[in-house]
Amino acid sequence: MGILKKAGDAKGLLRIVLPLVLAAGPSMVWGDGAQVHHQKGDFLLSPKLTFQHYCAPCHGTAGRGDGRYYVTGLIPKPADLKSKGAEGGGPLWDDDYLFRWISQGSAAMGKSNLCPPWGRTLPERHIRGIILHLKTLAREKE
Amino acid sequence: MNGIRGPASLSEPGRFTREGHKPVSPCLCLAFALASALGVTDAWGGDSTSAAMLAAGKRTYQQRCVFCHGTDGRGDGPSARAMMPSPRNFVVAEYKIRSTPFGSLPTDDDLSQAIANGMPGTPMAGWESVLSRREILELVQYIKSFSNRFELEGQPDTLTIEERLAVTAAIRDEGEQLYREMRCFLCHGKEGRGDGPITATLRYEWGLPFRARNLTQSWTFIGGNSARDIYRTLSTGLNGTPMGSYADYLSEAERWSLAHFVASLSGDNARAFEVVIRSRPLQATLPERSDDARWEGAEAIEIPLGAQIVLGTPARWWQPTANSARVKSLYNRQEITFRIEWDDPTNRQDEIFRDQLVLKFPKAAAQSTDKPYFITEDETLETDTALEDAQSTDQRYFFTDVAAAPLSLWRWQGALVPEGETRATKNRGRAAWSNGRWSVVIKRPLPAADFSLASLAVWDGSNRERAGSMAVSSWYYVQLETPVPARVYIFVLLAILAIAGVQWGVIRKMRGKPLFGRLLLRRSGSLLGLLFALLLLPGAGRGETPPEGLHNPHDRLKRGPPLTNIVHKVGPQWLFSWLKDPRQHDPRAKMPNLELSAGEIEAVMAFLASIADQKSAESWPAYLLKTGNEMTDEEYAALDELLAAGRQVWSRARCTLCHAVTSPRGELVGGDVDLRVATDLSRVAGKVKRDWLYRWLEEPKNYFSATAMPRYRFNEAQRRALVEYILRDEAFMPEEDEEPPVEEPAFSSGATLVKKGKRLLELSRCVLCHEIRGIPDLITEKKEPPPQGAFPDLAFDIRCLSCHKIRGRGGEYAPELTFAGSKLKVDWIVDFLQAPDMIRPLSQQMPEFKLTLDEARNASRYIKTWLTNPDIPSGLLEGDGPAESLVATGRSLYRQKGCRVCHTLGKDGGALGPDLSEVGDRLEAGYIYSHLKNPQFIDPYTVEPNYGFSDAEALALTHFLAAQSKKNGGGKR
Repeated sequence: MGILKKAGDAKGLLRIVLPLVLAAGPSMVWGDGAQVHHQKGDFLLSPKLTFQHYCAPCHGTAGRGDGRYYVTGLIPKPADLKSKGAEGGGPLWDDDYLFRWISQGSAAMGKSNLCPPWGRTLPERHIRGIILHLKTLAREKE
Repeated sequence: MNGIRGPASLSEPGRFTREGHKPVSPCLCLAFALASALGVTDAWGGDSTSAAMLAAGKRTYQQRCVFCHGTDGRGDGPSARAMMPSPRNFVVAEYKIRSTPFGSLPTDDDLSQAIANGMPGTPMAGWESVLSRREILELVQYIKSFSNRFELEGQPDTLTIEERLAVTAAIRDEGEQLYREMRCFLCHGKEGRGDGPITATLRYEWGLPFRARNLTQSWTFIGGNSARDIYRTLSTGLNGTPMGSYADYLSEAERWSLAHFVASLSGDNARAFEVVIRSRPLQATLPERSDDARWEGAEAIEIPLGAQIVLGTPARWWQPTANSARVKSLYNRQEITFRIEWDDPTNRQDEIFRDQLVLKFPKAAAQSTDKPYFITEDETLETDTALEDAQSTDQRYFFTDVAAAPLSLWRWQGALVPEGETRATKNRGRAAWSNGRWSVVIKRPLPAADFSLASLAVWDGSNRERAGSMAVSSWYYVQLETPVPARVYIFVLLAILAIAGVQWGVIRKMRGKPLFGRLLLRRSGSLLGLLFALLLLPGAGRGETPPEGLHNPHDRLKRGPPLTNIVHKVGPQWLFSWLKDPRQHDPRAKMPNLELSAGEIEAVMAFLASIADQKSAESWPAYLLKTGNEMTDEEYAALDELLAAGRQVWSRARCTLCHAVTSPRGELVGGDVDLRVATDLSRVAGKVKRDWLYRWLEEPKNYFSATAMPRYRFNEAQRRALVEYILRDEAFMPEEDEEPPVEEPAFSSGATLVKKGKRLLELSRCVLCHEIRGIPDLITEKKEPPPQGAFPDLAFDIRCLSCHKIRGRGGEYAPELTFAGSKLKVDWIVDFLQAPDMIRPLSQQMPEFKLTLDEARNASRYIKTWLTNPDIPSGLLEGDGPAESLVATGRSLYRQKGCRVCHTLGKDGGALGPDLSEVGDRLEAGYIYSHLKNPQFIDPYTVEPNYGFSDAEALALTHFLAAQSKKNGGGKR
């Protein structure tokens, strides 16, 4: 096999393979530019919005326990997570404790049955994200 | 990369006639033998569409082309989904690169050149080295056989191109002027980077987004990049795209000037695609800004950026905006700085995801040839992190995996803010965006070694790029340049000469020997294709079509309303100020600023006035045409009554579900700001005309057939009251401090003005978004068959799919109905459709559309028949009904799990979930059971958490909930 021909074939092969592999390389499409829409599920990209979707109905958008969707006369009331976090949250308030709380629900932690378990609904990284967000909330000034 | 090679232009016939140099392969001999056996006498012409030729073409097609173009030639092969632009659909037979007039078919020659030379800037490769000329000619015939257009339309005239070679500065200047006059900048941008104001609104046939070419990247011009190729494109246009022909607007000489100007935009075409970023030493401080003159001294290299097709976070990404970045670097004793420039035609900072840049370096100098993985971070590398950014949980950008896996590369990361310091974690950066180009300067401490690695990743937020969806480069070397002694060059030169000499000798010896490589190549080509097919097939063919055509109001090629009768809708003053600058008028306007002068706007308005229909005026009681101050007391009282009635109609029809208005406190309320489903009505009182509004409310589709607005079936009194309310209530009034326009525009007339206006509308490509009488479409919309059947008719009339989604078609504003038949009970559907009731107290409710009993029954029949899910058990609890013992178990479970926190039952409960008091009347037991087992099984974003109920628990709860009905007292326990 001659070197020249071999080189030619390699080039030919590249001409077939490269466009396929790099089909999207110099690709020419984009989204809506002027009209970027929110799409369903975008909120899962950000812990803040994930919190707002799943937790804020009871705990409020700022985590102050002032959501407006829970039943009136609930005892205990949804926790004020912001103040709790700002005060340090007590000796148990660490990542693992929060993770267990959120994923197994309040009943499993020996508390009321009012905060549902999220472990089968949200993947671990989303729950970890929510925990990160709780810590940010605690640090944020009003 | 394939696109970088200077594409062969039509002016190079030599590229296509090198057949003589090629060894005649056994295959070809066989083909010849076969062809002669079948009676094709003249192999190179003659009966070109003979059956033998078609059969041979088909064989080649099935071997080479099906993977992208599909077996039926519809451009839907298994690998097509990863390609942009998508492979040509031969059935439609719209070909871009032709020597024939706009809208007509290409010649055989055009097609064979496209096959032979490929399409630079697209995934279409040139096949000249693989296929023989004969095979290509056969393919052309086969490809033509996909469409009967070739038989029906015959051979069109071809363009003869007489090259004007002499390019002078004056010609280029004339071209530059024409570029402005022909309004090229509207799509291609002021500096040609494809960033013009209307570029984001462009659509292909089938409504796919179409991006105006970045004219500074001539290697991506699909028809070739010589002035001659550009002249041809200007003259013939690109079929099926917004790029029409300019033959009617410009003389031949003018087209040449424009072509030479466009060719000059790319500057030096030979961009340096290298693997080493050479950093130049500087004695003084390093430049901070990207426009610093000292950058001139640095050497630029072009780094190609490719799609991230490896990781699924959030998805494999095939279509990034950025395709290459130009990098320069400088260093001094302490620091090194990089200037990274890439083209990004959009820079709208209201985009939901920010544009971002990451420049990565491994911490230590490479000890071996192993390089870290260039997409995710490798733990063996430096652990400087972006965690602080992550903790700020900025909703605009966030790396979902940061919390789970700490980053371990030294990385510069920043969300880009034009004209200012960027947010970087540790190192300084400065970014600027202008005319479609980001230019970012990043400074960091000098790397430990002279030779380091760097890689780039770029995100374009307006292309929904975030997290793992981005354009990436592989690793590039960074070399700190030091002066090189001259003898190094001499040794290298000698070595090259020696090697070249040896190679030359070997090549001489080997020439002319038979070659198995070619055969091998053929095999490997099809094998590879097969491999791709296997890889991609599972993704193909997803999504079903609805059983009967349901019209999707959100899926229309023309985004804007028709302009034919616009003068009946709005007054001249409004139209003038809108055309002047739509965003000034309404910051959320989708309409781009067309940069028209006052005189040009006058011409456009004159044209629009000239095409409108004659319409008779509606009759209104005289007092309604007065302002409030002019009315007598009785008239004012009557008006007051009318306004009250109008307000009631407005709120009962739930108009604010979709439309925003001004609240009494002066804020914008209603409508979904993000979804932007409907027009903002907060200033509509000063915009629309009374007669138009009255007719619009009667049947919106008469004015705008593709509107998402439902027909509300108001009676005449209701319409009149609503018109008055909209035209007179403060909720629809513009703010008072708005300056009245200085001039008083009016609709002028005059043949020359009308002609000028028409030309301006044509050149500004208004017809892409608006239907305009007298201006032909550039792109023919794929017409869907009109809805057939009682329910599709109804769904079209009241626009169910503006809010609801059925099988992937429609809005996301209301619950998805794809499986509503398995979910809802017949009687409930019939009742609800006639008089919608509250389901989720704090959410939006469906408006009443005054459906008749028959219509409601038709709809429920359709829903129960077609919108079902076989995974939901049907007929559960039918017959016996809920069993008492299980109801009791279910009741205690309901208490135990704390369901009342979110759901109301009877008088007690929260408002997040639906009211369950009569849920047994509404939901099928099978659905309740499936939902309890996995609340996310239909909608993955349902808030209700999965409690992990056992089958017995779920069944008990199902019995309990099924027992909650009106008959049983509506959940009274």
